[in-house]
Amino acid sequence: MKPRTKEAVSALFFILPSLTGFIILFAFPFIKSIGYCFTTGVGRLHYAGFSNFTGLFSSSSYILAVKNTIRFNIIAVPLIMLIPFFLALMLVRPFKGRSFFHTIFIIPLVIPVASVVKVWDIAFRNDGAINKIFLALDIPTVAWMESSASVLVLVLLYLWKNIGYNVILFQAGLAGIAKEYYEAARIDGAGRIRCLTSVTIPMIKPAAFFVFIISIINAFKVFREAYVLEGRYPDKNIYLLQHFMNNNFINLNYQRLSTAALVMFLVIYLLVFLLFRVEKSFDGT
Amino acid sequence: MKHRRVILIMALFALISVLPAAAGGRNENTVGAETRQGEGVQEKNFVELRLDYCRYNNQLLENIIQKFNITGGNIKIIPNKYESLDDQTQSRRLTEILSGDGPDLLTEIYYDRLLNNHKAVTSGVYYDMSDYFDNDKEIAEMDFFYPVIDNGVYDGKRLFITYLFKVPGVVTSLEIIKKYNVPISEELWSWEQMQDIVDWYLKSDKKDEVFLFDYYFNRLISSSFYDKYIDYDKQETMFDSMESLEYLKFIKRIQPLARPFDMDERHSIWLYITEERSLFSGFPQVAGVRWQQVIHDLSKKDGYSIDILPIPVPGEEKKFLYVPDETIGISSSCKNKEAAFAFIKYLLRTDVFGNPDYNSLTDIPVNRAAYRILTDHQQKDRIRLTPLPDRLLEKEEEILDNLAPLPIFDRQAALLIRKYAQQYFDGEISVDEAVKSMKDAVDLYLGE
Repeated sequence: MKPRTKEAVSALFFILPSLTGFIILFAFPFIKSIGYCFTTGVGRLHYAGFSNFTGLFSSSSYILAVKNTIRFNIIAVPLIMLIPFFLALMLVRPFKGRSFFHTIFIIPLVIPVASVVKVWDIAFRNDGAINKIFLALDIPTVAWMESSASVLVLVLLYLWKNIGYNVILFQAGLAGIAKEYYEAARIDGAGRIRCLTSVTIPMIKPAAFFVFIISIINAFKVFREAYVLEGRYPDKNIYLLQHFMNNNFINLNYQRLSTAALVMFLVIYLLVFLLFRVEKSFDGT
Repeated sequence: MKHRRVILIMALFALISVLPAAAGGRNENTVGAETRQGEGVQEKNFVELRLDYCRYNNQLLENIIQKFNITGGNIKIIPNKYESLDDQTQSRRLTEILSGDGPDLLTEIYYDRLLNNHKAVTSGVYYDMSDYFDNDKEIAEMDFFYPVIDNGVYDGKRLFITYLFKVPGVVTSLEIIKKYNVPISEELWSWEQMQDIVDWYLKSDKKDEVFLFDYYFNRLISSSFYDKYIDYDKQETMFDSMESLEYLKFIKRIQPLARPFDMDERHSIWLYITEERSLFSGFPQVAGVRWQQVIHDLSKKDGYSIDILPIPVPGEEKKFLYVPDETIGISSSCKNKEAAFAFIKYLLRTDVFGNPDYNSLTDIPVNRAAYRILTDHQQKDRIRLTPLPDRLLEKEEEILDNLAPLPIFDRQAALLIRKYAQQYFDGEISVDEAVKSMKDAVDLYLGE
């Protein structure tokens, strides 16, 4: 056996346990769920052509879920990129109490979702703390979770929960930028803003790209908080794709669930593919 | 060489792990013609059908299955009793059904349904037995309670059959009615007449002395009719209709008029009647042989002249609520559907429930002739029981002749509606907000 083949075989041997798990728990169910997209019935399945896809795209709840998910991403992802970036810029320099701020940002990551959501529920329900403050200040109260304000609550919850993680990632990225670049820029007469735009931002792009991908993934995960906060059928403004899929699972509509999951997979795959292409083109310049 | 062996072993391990999942292993006991061999038993071909039922279904179904297995020819029902209705059991059953490995005959209890919403029922889990049912000559000659027998027909498909049902209602006594001068006629009431009684009570000074209703009646009235305002065919809701708004307002109005739930009393109507705790007391049954026995006992022991009233349906002229208690359908993955239907047909036969052995049956069989046999037997059993007054027998007959078509049962929709209805009853939101929230939530559900 050639040394390279030997190496490949050894590598395969080491990844086999994980590969087996992947095949059983991910690959096989995924292939089976693709099969569901083109069938109808329970137990015994019948070929259904593309009817599951036409049914999905004519579902008013699916369209609403797609719109809400896109809207949430458009609002929340730029915020979860910008705020942690500037916080990381502040925290990258040593100052007294820096570790305290680190702790503050990390805490939301380690608190269990259920208890986090309970606190938010106490704050934002109709007779909650925020409305009580509004009442005391003679400001009209808001039905936070039963109006378009629910989007704001969910965005805030998403930011609060995920800022710390992104701060760490940005800090790691900033720490990787060599001081020499800044020194050279200052010698050339660059001020703080110029250093930021001409050194920090171009150099942090790989880390920012990673943060962007992670933020999109976390934006999809916000369903967990929305679900614990408002259940299977929340206000229609925060009814997300995962609500749609979760509910179809419970309602036994596996065909529609699989179809929605496949469409989502294809869209995310395309998005990530495009992002990698964009990143590559940046690298080229 | 060593490497190759290790890799081969690992590959075999992976293959063994994957294969059972890929095969989707079917339960071999489920269906099919099988040969039963035993000690000294003559070999015979049996069609075995699996039927799951919860132990809460009492012994009734088990007895019927035993009888069927003796007389059912080459069809043998294999009862599979599960102990509880907890989430884990239900989840396991659901997985079995969806993978095609579930029971051949799907039985359900109304209040603890596994397939508990419209979407689940119409998802293809049930086989449409319309052809068998509509073309069966014996069934065509059977006398059924309508619309109970058609309760499992969804979009023209007969997905399940209700073989036992209940008629909930209220009980009172002529003595109480007279004592408190309740303005009620001897006829069965309509929804509007019930509202009139509420108005009378609110204006009278009786509210300081006695409650109008009890917790159980309140619960029945408050939870039975929301599904009326959902049109599944058009995927629309009508919660903002005048009738729906009036219904909600009425339910809110009667909340304080009902006596709160008392764990110790449950449905002990003796207490309600003898101690006059409320003018009307809800009861799970105001028809059926078991109920008749309760009245016999009451009249005999305490000399009370019991009166019964059903639950009127809003927007209907004297139509009354019933509850489809036990249902049965054929699983779409059942291999021998004809044999499965033979058992369902057996359940519907007059001689199965029309048997004096079932003289304490809590529910009413959907076969009317069978029920008549039970009632007649009860009336003739004069040694043990006092005959039921004619006025009550006539009332019961009238109630059973005027059962309202039941709105489609949908627990998920009901949960959504009740959430906002409760917020309205508690004064947290206005009726308009409640209706809007109900509409938004149920529209989302319907649109999925």
